Amino acid sequence: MIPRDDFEKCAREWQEHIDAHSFTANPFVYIEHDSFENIVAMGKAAIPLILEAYSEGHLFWGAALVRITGKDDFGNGVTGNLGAQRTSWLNWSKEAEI
Amino acid sequence: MPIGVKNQIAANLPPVHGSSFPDVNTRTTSSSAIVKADSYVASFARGQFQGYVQFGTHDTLNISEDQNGRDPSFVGAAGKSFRVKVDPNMFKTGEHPKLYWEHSTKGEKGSSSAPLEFPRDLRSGALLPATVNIEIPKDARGIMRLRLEAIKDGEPHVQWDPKFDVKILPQTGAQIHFDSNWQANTIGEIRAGDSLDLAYDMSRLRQILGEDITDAVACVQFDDRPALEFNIAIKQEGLIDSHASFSPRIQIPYEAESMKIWFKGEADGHIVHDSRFGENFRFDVGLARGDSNPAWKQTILGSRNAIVGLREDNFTALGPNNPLYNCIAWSIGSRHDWIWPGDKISDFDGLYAQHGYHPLDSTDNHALSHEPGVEKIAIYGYISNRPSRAKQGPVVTHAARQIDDGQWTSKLGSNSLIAHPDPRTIEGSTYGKLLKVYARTK
Repeated sequence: MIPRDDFEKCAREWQEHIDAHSFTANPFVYIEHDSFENIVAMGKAAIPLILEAYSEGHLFWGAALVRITGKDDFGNGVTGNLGAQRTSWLNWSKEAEI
Repeated sequence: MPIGVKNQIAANLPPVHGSSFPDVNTRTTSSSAIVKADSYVASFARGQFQGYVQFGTHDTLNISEDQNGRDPSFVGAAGKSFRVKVDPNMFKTGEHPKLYWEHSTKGEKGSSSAPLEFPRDLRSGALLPATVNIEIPKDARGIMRLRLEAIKDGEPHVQWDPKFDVKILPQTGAQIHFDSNWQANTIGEIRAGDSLDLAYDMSRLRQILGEDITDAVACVQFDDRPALEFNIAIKQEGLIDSHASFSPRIQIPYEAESMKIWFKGEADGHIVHDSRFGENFRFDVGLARGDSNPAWKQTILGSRNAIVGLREDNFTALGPNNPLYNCIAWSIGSRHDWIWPGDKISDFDGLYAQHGYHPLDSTDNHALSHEPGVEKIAIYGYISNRPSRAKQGPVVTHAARQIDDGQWTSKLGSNSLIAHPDPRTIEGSTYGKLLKVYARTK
């Protein structure tokens, strides 16, 4: 079980990093941050919280899911059609009843 | 019975070709009358409100703008009258109700009000609905906010709900006429954010369904979004006039790239589609006009990470913030992807070669000039502070694309797409210097 406060603190810091680079074209810059690595390190227990954030928040949450699950059939979460990747992950979570 | 619940019969209709566009509001021996809205109306009563358009002296047609449950209830049009009718039962005697309205023109908000005066029926003496006539300015855009205010127990009492809002259709736009000869003719440019008038000749449906048409709608789908339906049938004393149709005005979404249109008609329990043999009528949607919404530019200029070279007067914003694609995707024509081939110039040489672009020898004015029939992309970057990376050449940061009118366009990360006449406007600490130009013939 991941304490929600810990997750939300990391999520907030990651969002601040993304906002600070909102003019950046290189999408890999968005995941180059300790907060992203800390979220990935939370492992599978963080997946429900990630999905919750993903449904409303930015489009790079898929990168965290790819890193945690090793599942990359929807894309790498950094490049490609990130809107479609989000839809695929949210559908996957419904089918997996997460 | 409403359309959409019965057996559907595909209509084999001939394909369309371009031809001249006859005036609407005319009737010929072979074609039907097509009428436009004279004014738009919002009707308020206790617990319910309804929007409709008015044409002629008495004819009205209900319109439902709120097709997904989130939009404003009412629709109005820039440059047209908007009439608000308020039922007297919403207030008690002595409350002195007023209507307030607020709309934006060129980014400036204007607010007005008028007292609601309820006339009396001469025979019965009963109070009748109050009517306020609002002339919507030609350059109004966005939302017009309505609210009702009255004095209750000595205190002002405001009635307002987002559902009271009026979506203003812009005056600028195009028309598509689906004529009696099975042709579809476009007048003007179809552009995101603009209005679009659909003029449908009912004789097309009449040729398939006969005279007894019971319902007719225009269906419009932007990109992959859910299709919207617009009523085009005119009822006269409860019966459809199969020799006339209403021309709905709609607004094209700012981010739309393409549009499909088809028509559905119903008679005698059958539904037919006028849909170009089931393929629908397809149209490309051009980019939004620069600064259609002044807030787009202000968001960019107000950002704490704003590009230093951008000023109020040297660029226009072509849309709102959009996190769905980056500048590299935009440079090769996609608005759905984040593309990143690597940060070295050789990575971009490879990417653009795949799309038929070749690098130019120079970044001088000639290389950056507008040459009809030639498409150009410019990339930007800087020398890294890290010696090991600096040895590999510049770090590429951004790409801009020249469009048909000669302007350069840049998608700014997850922010807006902008147009900037000078490609060097965006040079600076964020993107570095213009590094290289690529070109291909169309």
